[in-house]
Amino acid sequence: MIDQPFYLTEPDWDALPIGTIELSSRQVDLAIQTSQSIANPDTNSEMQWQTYINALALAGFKEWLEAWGSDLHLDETQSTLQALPPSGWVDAVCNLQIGSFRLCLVAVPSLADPVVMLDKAIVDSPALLPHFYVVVQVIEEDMLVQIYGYLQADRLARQRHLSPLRAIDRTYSIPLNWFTPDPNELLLNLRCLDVNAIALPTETTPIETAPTEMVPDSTSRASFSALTQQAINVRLWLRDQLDPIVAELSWVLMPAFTPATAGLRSTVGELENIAEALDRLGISIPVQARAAYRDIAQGSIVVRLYAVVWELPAANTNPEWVLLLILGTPTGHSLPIGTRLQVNDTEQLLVEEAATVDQPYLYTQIAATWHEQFQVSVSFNQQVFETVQFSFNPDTTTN
Amino acid sequence: MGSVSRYWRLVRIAASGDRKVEELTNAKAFFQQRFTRWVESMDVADLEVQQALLLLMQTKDNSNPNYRELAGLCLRCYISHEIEQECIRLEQKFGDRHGFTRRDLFPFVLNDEGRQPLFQSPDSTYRPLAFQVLQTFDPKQAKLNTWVTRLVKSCRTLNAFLRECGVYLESDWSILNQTRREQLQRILTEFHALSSVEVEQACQLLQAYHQVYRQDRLMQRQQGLVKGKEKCMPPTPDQLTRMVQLLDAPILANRSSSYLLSKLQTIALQIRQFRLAAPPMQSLNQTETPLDVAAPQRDEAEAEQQEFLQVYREQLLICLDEALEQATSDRVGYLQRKKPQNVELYMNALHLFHCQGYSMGEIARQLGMRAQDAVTRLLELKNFRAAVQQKLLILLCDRLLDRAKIYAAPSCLQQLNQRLEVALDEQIAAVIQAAEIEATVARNCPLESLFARRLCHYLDTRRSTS
Repeated sequence: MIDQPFYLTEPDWDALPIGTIELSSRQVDLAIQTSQSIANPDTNSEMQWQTYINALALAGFKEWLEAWGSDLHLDETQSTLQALPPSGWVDAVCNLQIGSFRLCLVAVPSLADPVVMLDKAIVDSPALLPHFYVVVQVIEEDMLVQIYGYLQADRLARQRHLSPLRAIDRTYSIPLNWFTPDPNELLLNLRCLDVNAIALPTETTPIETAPTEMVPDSTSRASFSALTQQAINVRLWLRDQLDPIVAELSWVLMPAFTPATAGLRSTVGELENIAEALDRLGISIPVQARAAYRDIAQGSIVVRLYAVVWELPAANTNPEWVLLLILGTPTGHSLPIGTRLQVNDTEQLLVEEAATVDQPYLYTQIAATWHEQFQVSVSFNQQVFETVQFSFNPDTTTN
Repeated sequence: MGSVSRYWRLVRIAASGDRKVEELTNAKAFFQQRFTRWVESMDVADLEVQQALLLLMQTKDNSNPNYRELAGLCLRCYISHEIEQECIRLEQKFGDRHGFTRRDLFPFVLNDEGRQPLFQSPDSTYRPLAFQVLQTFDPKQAKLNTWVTRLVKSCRTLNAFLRECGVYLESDWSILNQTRREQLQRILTEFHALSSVEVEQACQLLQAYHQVYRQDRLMQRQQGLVKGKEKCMPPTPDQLTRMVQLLDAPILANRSSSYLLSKLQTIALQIRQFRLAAPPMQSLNQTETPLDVAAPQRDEAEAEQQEFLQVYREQLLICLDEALEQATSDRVGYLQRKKPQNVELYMNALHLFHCQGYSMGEIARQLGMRAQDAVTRLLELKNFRAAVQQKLLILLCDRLLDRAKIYAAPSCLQQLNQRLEVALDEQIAAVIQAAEIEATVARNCPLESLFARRLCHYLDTRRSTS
């Protein structure tokens, strides 16, 4: 007798979900052909099989687009099924283009598995990074394909900061529930989203301009900008207002900072210690300055980035603001050797500070005119922990 | 436990297609003579009876050469009851929605007429399912009724029929084919808590399976030996031998093909158990949570805004009509390309649903479609509504923003834009949501939601102009 645990049930029939795509024989034949041209069947049968499955996924995706997204044009000329990328074979269909969006299809055999395994390359490699990852279920024997849902790349980037990804061999394990299980939402995004609203991790976001296109958001019914990595507008800080984006990204706005508020909260105290040290170095923080901080975790390393801003009196026609960045640790211990703080503007690297032995803080100060924008990166041994955009936008009215 | 008469009464298909129960006198006589003790009791322990019959079936008794045949016949009778039960169960679970009855299923599996001898038929003639059951049954592996069900579930022709009705069952061999080594490793380690040795062995078996089975499957498709939706069959003896050869002795000590086969089946079962136990995924058919419908912000003091809102209400209708037309045309265009015979069915079904409030089942009957499942599949209402919603949003935003430029100063435009999107989105969602809720209850009168009314208006116009 087969040992059967109490919760076992025998395999049983199921109704096909509505909207399941049934592939034609011709589509299957094409998929076979693709698998033969991409992978050499003699040397790697696993690669050939997976390519076949991925080709089926693409066929199903195209079929679905034809049915519900016929206004969208799919460009597959650069896809990884047409030609191997320089980094080598990858178990996904990458570099699909719809409008200005890049998509990457990931095939899974069953939607009952709460974990999706993504090829590391499609998460880490800038050349393959998409705007949207799309999970597609493929059941080869029945020639069935189901478009399950999608995950925006910036969401993945944020999520992995909060819970670092588990790596197994060449893959990362991603919870399926990070994906939005509604293909219609994907269609909405492809039709209406401004591509600049999705900041891909290694790119710099262009200067924030008033959007002239519609950016309707139906995913959370909240302000759409909360979902994107737009620049933090420090102007609002100075008016003691927290940008909704900033809250979303877990910055903590500190109360009005004056040397006299010593002892109120430990963090304020900590910053004051830093301020005193900076004062001795000739950098003084004025009374009207505002500060916020954010803890950044990567594996077992936790660092704390303080951002202190203040306006300079408009002595000339070009009013200025100052951004003082301090990188430390929540506990005040030394930073790991090799921790780097970098500041870029839209064109070039401005500042780079690296931690050496026994250094509890890195700091840098930048003065800028209104509308200038900066990208601040915290990295450790070439791996970027975090990238933050700061700008000073006085035109933004508050609601 | 059950009536002992199941062992000499055979369930089979009558000429009419219905089922009938035939009492086999030879089987009855045999059973009553050999197992008098059981005949007296109302209920029998199936396990004991089956064990005894199997034993008889397997021993060659030269003094009574037809005992084997008769014992087999008794078991065939029992099996026919089990097959019928499975067909009934399928009918109860899916028959109504998917348009079939047990009678449709019988010809595929309830195909033993009790005439053909079990032991002398050459392999090439038609063999009932029951024969296959008896030939492959191993009492150490499973109970007989379980085995019957399993073979019913792997019957190719039955699967093909059910598949056409929108019901499917993934085979063990497909599951093994598509599960990756890393996935199996995770499943066995985390879910089944097996030891690393066991996990390693299973993974290696899977890998050997992949190497042989996947290659063959690809080649079969290439060469046209497998066309279309062909179920993955159990590995052939040749395939099993090739797999065994790929595995070292430490991993697979017992080098027999049948042992490997049963190990593979165990792995498939373990994967199924994992899938079944996983928390249910959010289904695509789940409706969104109800939203608070916020009225567009009014500032009573601003006459301009009032006028603007008037424009909004007009434009909503105009744009909704356009969106409905576009979405319907898109769908019709798609069907025209893929399945032109469905175009008329589609338009009729759409009309019956929204303009007359027919249920899916009634529509199926009216249009001569197999079952409500076929109608649901054709209409794909959720996707249709989403398409209308998105088109409406884009159209409305466009129109209103144009008009808004007349009313708002440029510096306020951005702000207005954002507020407009949010407000519109909620308004439109409410329209769609009302349609959604309405759609869940059939009502035999025209649907009242704005969505349905405008759609009907469009469909009626389209009919009168075509």
